[in-house]
Amino acid sequence: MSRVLPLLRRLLPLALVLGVVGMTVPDSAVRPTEISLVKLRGAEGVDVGDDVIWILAVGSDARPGEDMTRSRGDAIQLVGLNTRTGAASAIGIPRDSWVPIAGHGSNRVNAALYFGGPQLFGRTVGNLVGVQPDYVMVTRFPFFENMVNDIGGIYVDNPRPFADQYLKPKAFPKGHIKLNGYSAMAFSRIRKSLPGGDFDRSANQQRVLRGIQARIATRSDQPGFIERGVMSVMRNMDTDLAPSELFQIAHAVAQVDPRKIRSCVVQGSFGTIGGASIIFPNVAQARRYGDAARSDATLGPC
Amino acid sequence: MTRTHRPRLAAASLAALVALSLGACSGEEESPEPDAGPSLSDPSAAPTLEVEPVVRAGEVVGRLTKGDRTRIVEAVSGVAVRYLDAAFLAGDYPRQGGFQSALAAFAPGTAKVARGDLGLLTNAGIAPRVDEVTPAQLGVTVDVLAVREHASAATAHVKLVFKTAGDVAQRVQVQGRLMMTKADGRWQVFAYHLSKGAR
Repeated sequence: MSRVLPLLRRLLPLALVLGVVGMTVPDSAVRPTEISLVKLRGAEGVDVGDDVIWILAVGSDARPGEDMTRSRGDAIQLVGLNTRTGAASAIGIPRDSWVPIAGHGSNRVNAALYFGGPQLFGRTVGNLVGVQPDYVMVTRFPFFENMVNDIGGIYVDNPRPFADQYLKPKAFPKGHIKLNGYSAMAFSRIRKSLPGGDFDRSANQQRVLRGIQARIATRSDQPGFIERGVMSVMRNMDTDLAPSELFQIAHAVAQVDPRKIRSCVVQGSFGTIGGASIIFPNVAQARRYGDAARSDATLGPC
Repeated sequence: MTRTHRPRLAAASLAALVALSLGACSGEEESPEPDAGPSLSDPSAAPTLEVEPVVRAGEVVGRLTKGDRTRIVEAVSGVAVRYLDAAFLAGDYPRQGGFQSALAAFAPGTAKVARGDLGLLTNAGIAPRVDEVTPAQLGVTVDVLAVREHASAATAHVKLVFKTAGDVAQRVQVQGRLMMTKADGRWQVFAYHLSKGAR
């Protein structure tokens, strides 16, 4: 958990330079459900250690005027942050995963958001992976685009060129590429032209998350950067979480060590139910990911 | 050899520095925000230092009255200065211990982590071999996040430079950030990102 500040290294070229970071995110009260960033556990919550927080990040395809907390999530990532070690893990859930939804039989996983809002969605994904999220964050894609633009764009390592006739006619090239807000949205949503379909899309979403984290971490020492970011969230998202809690979460993200980020996508098999294409997720694999990362946000090999 | 604090900086003068640094910030209407953070105008709570801290208001995101800005910057910088003083400057050198008390304003979980970094977050690693500590520079710049005209969070950007004499004679620089929110009405460090270098 040591970091070296380049500036200080320059200032003290002969120095032994050691840096340390640390933080904690304390519990607070349970929040109402009709918001876009929801805390699912309170001070009396079970199994929330001092060090690890789990956030279910959801990109909503809700149209303007639609309630995004009752829409269908297009991008679904369960993200764990270890505030003590700086480790982070992302477990990607393909949108079309067919799973049990409490009180609603079985359906695509993203239907849980439509049926029961962030609370039910969090529980549904939590039951699949075996890790219950502490927070569920739902964002609309336009806000996501604005956020990426606000931090100056992001860089991703793209393993293959791909395009989409509607979202991105000119292909994303292979390699280390920069994305602005719109491009990051397209990079996260394109599915049909990817060989692995929903699985590859989920992996691309994780590349975008890495890019966002790296940008935030790089700029977090700039005066007022985190403060402005939290204010932007407060203005653009419906949330009644305390600003101080958002501030703490933002710092939890900023203090992740990029060398300690791991990400996996829950695999599965394609199928059809009622004429609709779905994915039967590999539940054993999902649980294995959850077991590996639950306590320390450290995933092993996928 | 024992280092003796000389009361170069009275609490009131730090408060005055803060007020001066904020003088041009705002012409907004003043309505005080209750702030139970440790006040540097309380001499019993304020350290006396051999170097005058330079305290500045950094970015204030959101609206705050001029008076609130002053009070919050004062309270937040006070927490930072007290930590830096207790961790690196205060005490009788060669110093044998007592460094954990420097973490008094850290949130419990953060303090637990910090105790594992005590050698970096304080002089614990070198104190028995140091005869004297002489501060050279102490600066704190405070960014504030204010929502609905109330301060919700703050970042203290700190820089401390001091020299040690004795078996360990070096120039030490501590630099980084202390991130704070309020708990029980007081500013508390929930995260830190600090670097320490010596030559």
